Amino acid sequence: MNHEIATGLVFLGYMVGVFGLAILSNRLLQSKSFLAEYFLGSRGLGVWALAFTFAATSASGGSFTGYPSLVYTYGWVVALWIASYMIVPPVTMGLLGKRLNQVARRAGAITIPDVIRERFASPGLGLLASGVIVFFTLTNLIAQFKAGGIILNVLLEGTPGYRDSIVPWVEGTGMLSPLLAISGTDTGYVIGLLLFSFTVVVYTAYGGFRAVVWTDVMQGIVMGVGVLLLIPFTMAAVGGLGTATREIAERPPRLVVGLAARDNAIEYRGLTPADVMVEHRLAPAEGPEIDAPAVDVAEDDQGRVRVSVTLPRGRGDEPGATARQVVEAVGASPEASRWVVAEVPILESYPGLAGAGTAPLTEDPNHLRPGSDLVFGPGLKQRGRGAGDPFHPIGMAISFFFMWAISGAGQPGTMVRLMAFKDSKTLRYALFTVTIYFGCIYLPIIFLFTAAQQVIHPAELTAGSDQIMPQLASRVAPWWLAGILIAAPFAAVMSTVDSFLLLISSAVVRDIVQRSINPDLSEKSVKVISYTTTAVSGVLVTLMALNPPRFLQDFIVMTGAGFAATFLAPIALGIYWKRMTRLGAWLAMLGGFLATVVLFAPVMLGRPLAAIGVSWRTEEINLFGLHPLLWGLVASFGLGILGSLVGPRPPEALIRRYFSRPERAGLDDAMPSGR
Amino acid sequence: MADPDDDPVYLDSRREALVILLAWLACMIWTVSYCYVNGYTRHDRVAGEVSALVPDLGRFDRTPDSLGTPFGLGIPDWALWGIVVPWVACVGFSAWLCFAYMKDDPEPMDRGEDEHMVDPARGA
Repeated sequence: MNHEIATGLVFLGYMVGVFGLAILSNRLLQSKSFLAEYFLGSRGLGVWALAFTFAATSASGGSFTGYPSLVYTYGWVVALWIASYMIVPPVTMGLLGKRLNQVARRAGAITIPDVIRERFASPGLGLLASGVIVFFTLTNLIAQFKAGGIILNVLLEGTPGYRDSIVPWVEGTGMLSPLLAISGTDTGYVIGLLLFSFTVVVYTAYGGFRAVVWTDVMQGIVMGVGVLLLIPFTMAAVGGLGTATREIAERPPRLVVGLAARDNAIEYRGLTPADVMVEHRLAPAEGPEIDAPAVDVAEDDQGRVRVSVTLPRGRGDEPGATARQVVEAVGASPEASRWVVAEVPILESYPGLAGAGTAPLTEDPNHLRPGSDLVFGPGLKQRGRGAGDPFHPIGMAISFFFMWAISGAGQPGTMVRLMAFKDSKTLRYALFTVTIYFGCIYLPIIFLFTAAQQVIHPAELTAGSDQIMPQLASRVAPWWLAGILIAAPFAAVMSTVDSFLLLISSAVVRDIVQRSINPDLSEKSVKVISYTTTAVSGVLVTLMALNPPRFLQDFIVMTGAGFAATFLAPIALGIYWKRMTRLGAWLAMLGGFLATVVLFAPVMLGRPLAAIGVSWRTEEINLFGLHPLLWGLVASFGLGILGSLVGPRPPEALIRRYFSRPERAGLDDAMPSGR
Repeated sequence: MADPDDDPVYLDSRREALVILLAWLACMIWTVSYCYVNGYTRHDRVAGEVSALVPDLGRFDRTPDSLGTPFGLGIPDWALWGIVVPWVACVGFSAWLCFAYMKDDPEPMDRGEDEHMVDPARGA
């Protein structure tokens, strides 16, 4: 059986599982108190459910696309980038878990805005929290839906008959014409996006929190088992990790430009340990015409050798030369061939590769990387204006300990799961389970994809290095395992999206409609509004994802940082510090939110400004080389503490309610749970 | 100082949170500093960034010849001692935390029907 059919079968089985779990969950929903069950699973999560919903929600599509791609591109230094995952489970689950669960129970809270509103006795704070959740979640969801659409499109493209029969049939009927007009992309992406949206919206809206948790368990197991099984196959293919690491380290400097599938891939090999930069650029339109690639070699102001290849203009902005012509021009230049050898790579998968395709361009000068850059830090960026800049300087290494661990503890989607477990024994066992799970996923991915350098040549990744996991699986694993691993990124995106969808609808239904507009809604009305809000949120995000901005990955990072900077301080200080006041909470939330948004302003405004001719940076502002998240946390905690200390103490009744023993807290109905 | 009326869940959770924060800090300090000193080929000092605050570490710059992969595991020495070993230690810490240190505390029942809570501003 080939991998395409296997992927189709795995995907089909997966869909049946997802919808089956949604139906079961909905049946349970009919027999319980609606809101608490729909948004919080009636606080009844057991060990496996809590562990896997936590793990699967944390592991977004990036864990199976972006992260393996980073390891493949930058090598061992990515181990330091992800290292804080060693302590992520204790921090994200143990730091707030037990106490947040208790406060939520005492408050009768089923959402994070609920907790904030109750703890500080401030409906205004609750509304602010809901507003921030809706703002950041919508932004994040557009990116996740886009990723889901792309992944599903790639999955379906390999399925027999899809590209030849289904897509032309859909195009022929014209049923997607309005959507295609909005999106301006190909039919495959729109079909992928619609299928993805339909699946995730239906099972989330219909099954609620419990369906999300159950599918998370299924997805978590599939992903974990898939990665672990891939290890022996990969290690057998490369002759062991030791061989792979040593061969990479001894590899001469190399740079690959272009893609094999377009027959335009060129591989440069360095002949010197000195830094060599290579750039391919089009001849300026206003300059003298050239009819062959021109090679120029110079030293730049930092003492690096720069090999510049100027390509003649063809039709439009296309280069009017082939990859082979560039290789020959570089080889014929005595100056250039002192520093580099250029050749069309010899690839097992593309034996007919001749270099007859259009010569590739580079946006900015690219750096030839010695193999040692893949074994030691700090690694080099290959693209962008910072070519030659380190991938992971020390400031970023520190920042990522905050980014993954501390920021993870401040995500509302994470916190809400801590309000849902049954008892503290469940928390303890789940925490340990997640520790083992993350150790079994994130460490092996480093071993797998540094070794993947020996199995797959960069020029073979025709859809970009994000495809490295399915490519590796297809190359070394049997069909059934490849099927699972090709479907894994899709499962990972779904398990993140479903949680975010519920987060949005709980903020709207519980915190805005029920708390602020009409507290006397009947259960039937609440049900209708809940189902409708989840579905409408999904449809809205789908429409926005039809034509999303290009720079959404930056938005994902911004929303993660923004959530943590806005919510961690008021929640952590609110549950552990009696002196934390309403004013402190206002200042903490606003300070964290604004600091993040201001430092990320270039990400949001840089390109729109460029479109109207105003030049500004497009990367976030890293003061002193530290990520905006750190400054957001400093602002949030600093202002929260200051604001609390300058104002009057919080009311005694409020402190008693959340900090005193049950018999002193004024909780008439307080008693141990489950007893 | 703890108030005798303080809830035991609050006190236990606070103590456990402190231990977890200390463990996180220890991991960050060990891992980042060990990997930076022993795993980086260059220790560039960039004006205006954190790297400018650390002393000149050029003597630690690595070359491919110095690569070691202890115990035949194929993991570079700096990654093994700076990341993999601490990761295994963290699993041990997590086991100790979950099965020896964290207390099981009784949780209060939900305060009535969750979705019918009174207005908190009045309820408080």
